[in-house]
Amino acid sequence: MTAILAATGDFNGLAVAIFAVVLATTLLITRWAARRTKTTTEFFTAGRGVSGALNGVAITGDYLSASTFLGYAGLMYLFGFDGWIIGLAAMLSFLPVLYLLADRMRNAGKFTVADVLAYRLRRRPVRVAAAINTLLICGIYLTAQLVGAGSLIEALAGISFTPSVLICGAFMIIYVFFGGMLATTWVQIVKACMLMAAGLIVSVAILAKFNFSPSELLNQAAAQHEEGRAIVGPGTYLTTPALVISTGLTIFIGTAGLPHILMRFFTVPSAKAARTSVVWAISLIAIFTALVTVMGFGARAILGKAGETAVGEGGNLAAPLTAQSLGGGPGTTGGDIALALFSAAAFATILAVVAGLVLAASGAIAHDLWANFSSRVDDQSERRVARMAAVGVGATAIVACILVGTGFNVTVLVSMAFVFAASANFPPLILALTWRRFNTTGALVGVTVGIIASVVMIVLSPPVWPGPDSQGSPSSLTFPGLVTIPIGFLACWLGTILSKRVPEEEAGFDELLVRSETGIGAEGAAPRRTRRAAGVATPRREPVA
Amino acid sequence: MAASAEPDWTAIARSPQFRELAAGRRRFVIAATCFYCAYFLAFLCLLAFAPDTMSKTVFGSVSLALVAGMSLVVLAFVMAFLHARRANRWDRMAQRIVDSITPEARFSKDGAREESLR
Repeated sequence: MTAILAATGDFNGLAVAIFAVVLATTLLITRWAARRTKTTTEFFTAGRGVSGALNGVAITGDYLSASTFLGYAGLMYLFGFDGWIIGLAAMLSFLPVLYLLADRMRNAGKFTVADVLAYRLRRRPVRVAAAINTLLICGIYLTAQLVGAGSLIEALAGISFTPSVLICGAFMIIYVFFGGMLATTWVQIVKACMLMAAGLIVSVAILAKFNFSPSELLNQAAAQHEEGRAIVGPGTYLTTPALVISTGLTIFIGTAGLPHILMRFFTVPSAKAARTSVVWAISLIAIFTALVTVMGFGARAILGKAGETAVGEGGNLAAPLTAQSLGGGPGTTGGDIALALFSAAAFATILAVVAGLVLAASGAIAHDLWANFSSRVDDQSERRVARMAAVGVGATAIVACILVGTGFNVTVLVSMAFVFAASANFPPLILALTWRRFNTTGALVGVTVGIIASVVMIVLSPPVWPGPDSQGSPSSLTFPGLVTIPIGFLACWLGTILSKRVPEEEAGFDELLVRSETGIGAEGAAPRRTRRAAGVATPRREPVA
Repeated sequence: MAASAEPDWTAIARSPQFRELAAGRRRFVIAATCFYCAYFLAFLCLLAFAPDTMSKTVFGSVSLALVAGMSLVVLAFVMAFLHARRANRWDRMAQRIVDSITPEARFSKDGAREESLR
């Protein structure tokens, strides 16, 4: 089994060649998209012409980041069942998205989450607060993904950390800068298909090895684990009740508050299409969740104890190494091809997810900050600012990654992004859509307190206090949502009831309610005003996807 | 710009047609959200407080925890399809409300409202 070690970290010509093919494909997509990205609406929302089904595939792509695809399988390899809870929670979070947000966001919003809030709350402060949330969540998540990308490509293809980050970062900026949402969406769709195919093939191959008997697979996995049978039940990774519930809740609510996923609902032509896209996403993600179970336990059954060092910290390489082993093992042609193909799917994943994050952050800067304060706003200048913001955000993340490198603790970064999304972003959004009395003060207090509580709880948690992986930290919760989500809601509520009633904001609730329920005044698939402002005399095409 | 044709939002919100739509939808969403949240929380609590029970195997080596997890996957499917089916009715109700309002209203844009709240 030592050969597994030798197979990672060396220069892998085949993997690099397939990476190059992936990059070339995405560049072609971007060139095609760039010609169709002329207005700001096209830049941020692909002209609202993405069909429900395709948007659903793209949402699946957003959900299937490297941490989902490789991370969950890796956690299951290391800890068994407990590694699966996070994946289940993230899948289920699409139910609140469908029931409470998807079609209502599509009806009431334009480019960003803040558009929905601005109908009824004071425009300037609430946009600033929403922009801060988006930038924090996307910036931190982006950094986590890039650091992960660097280590992963280093291990899989043998390209060292800095050039790996530079390549990923440069390409994500190119997609967003030239191709906007249309390029990001199609890169996401291509990648989601690659991942589903890779996951399906590996899972079927694993099951075939165990005569398609889940029981036999689990037996072998348990036999290969120190904890034995315990890995098919809870308690090996999330060791206390508070840890189980808090982690599950944070991911469940947090995924529903991720700006780059919510932004996807602005790309479809109608509220119905927004719902269709969530149904597609839930279906695909449910299938994928089942596949991850097979891959996670399969990795344990096939790689065994001997693979524990080779899969790396967090077990990220468990799935690719399992693919390699199924192909014939390290050193064989089949094994090399399987590893290279699987790695290419992982590589595509990172590229697509980081592009979506950059786009959401650029929307926050251009639409919520710049257009909010600048006196001269037109379609062209907003688009220019958005492109500059994309470059700025991307470059900042790249520089941070290269300077700090693997000094970043990816677990802490991912945890922070989800805790912010769950505690500071989700509560004001839901309350604005459902509670008439809610006002601007409540939203601002909620966001501020939500962010502070999240930071405090993360600083007190084991990965940070007082040094990495320390014992005896004041809080045991790596994902502290159990504490911070109630605090976020409570702060919104207190801020509202302790401040004066604002009649015009409560009247604004009627407007938001009518708009979100009926779609009156919603932006159509062919936004006429934007075209006029851009000086386009005749419609060039009807974006019916 | 035809922003002058801003619909009377409060009047629409108070119309019986709209109330029927909003109330029907609210009832369904609240009931369903309570159901899946309770289901998920019960799942987490069982894992947290009854790990031994959840580790029991039900057939072969497949544990109760794995079966419960898979039931969540099925739940997500079913809840999504139930909602989609029900939502088509809301769409028809919403369309009737839109049709009852002057055609200009449909094309009024967000700008006017935002300015007034500044």
